[in-house]
Amino acid sequence: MEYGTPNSVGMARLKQVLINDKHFNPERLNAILSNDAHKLLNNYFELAPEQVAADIAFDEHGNYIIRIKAVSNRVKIMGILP
Amino acid sequence: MARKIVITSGKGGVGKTTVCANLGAQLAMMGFRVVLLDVDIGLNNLDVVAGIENRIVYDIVDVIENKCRPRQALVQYDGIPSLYILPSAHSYNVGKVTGENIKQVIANLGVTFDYILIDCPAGIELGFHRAVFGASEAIVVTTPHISAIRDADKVVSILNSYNMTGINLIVNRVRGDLIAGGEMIDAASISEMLRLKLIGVIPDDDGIARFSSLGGAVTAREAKVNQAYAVLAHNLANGTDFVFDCTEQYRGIWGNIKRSLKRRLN
Repeated sequence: MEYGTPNSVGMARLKQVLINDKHFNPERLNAILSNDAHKLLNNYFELAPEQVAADIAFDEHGNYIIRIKAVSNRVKIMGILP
Repeated sequence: MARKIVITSGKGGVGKTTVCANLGAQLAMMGFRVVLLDVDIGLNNLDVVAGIENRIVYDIVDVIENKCRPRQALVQYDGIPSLYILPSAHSYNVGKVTGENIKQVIANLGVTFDYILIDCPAGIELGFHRAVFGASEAIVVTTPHISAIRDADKVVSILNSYNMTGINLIVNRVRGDLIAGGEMIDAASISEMLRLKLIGVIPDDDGIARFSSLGGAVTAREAKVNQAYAVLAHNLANGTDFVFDCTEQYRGIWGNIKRSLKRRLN
């Protein structure tokens, strides 16, 4: 049970609803983001797709916090133009 | 070059059509050439809100099907020479109309008008996308209720995937007495939550009910609402961010008395 003026309770409920909606809306976003991150990082590192993981979280204001973790043990040899 | 602005909300019944008609009237009274485009095909109401329902000869579907020229389908609003309405079809067979069709109609009208206000259907289905497709800017209309704000947030997410040059916010049916008493979410907080620029705050007023019965834009008799729409039109035309203060008359000692009386009378 929340206490306060109807305005403050309404604001708190609204914030919670909007944050929850953002949690459930981008269902496949993690997978798509991991895939794209793998494509990018694979240009520079030896990486298998399962070595890249993306995680999307939310702060108390509803902002997205995006964390991408990639583990590789080898850097690709960069070609140098003559 | 016309500004092509879709007026949308997500939730139905928040006052999109009323806002469209009155904003159009205010812009036209400022000297702009304005056309209101009803894209709510099958559930059209802009004609009734504007009070021109008995003067319709052709509609938007006739224009799309080349049965008439766009100019022939336009209905001039009584008393405001530079305000026109392109009514929607009242038939239910709307499957043939595409977003590309609407975009073409908008492009044709863009040559003649300064503002094209597109009245979007409620929801986020095909009709919504059809209306949004030809627009370059959007105005999201909401009321200060959680359900309407939530739907507005979803609509904003979808609008962000279109190439809009601007998405602005109007908060409609604001009760100054409830905001002053801390009983209703205020427009600035809604703007902050949705991360949209607030360009209009329209008070809840009995004048709107009168206007709805009579048909036509709000008049000077509904001074408060009229003033709010004038501020909104000024903001839209000039890029300013003045906000109509709905709470002014409910602040201070006299304001408290007014609020108490209003509560008792209700």
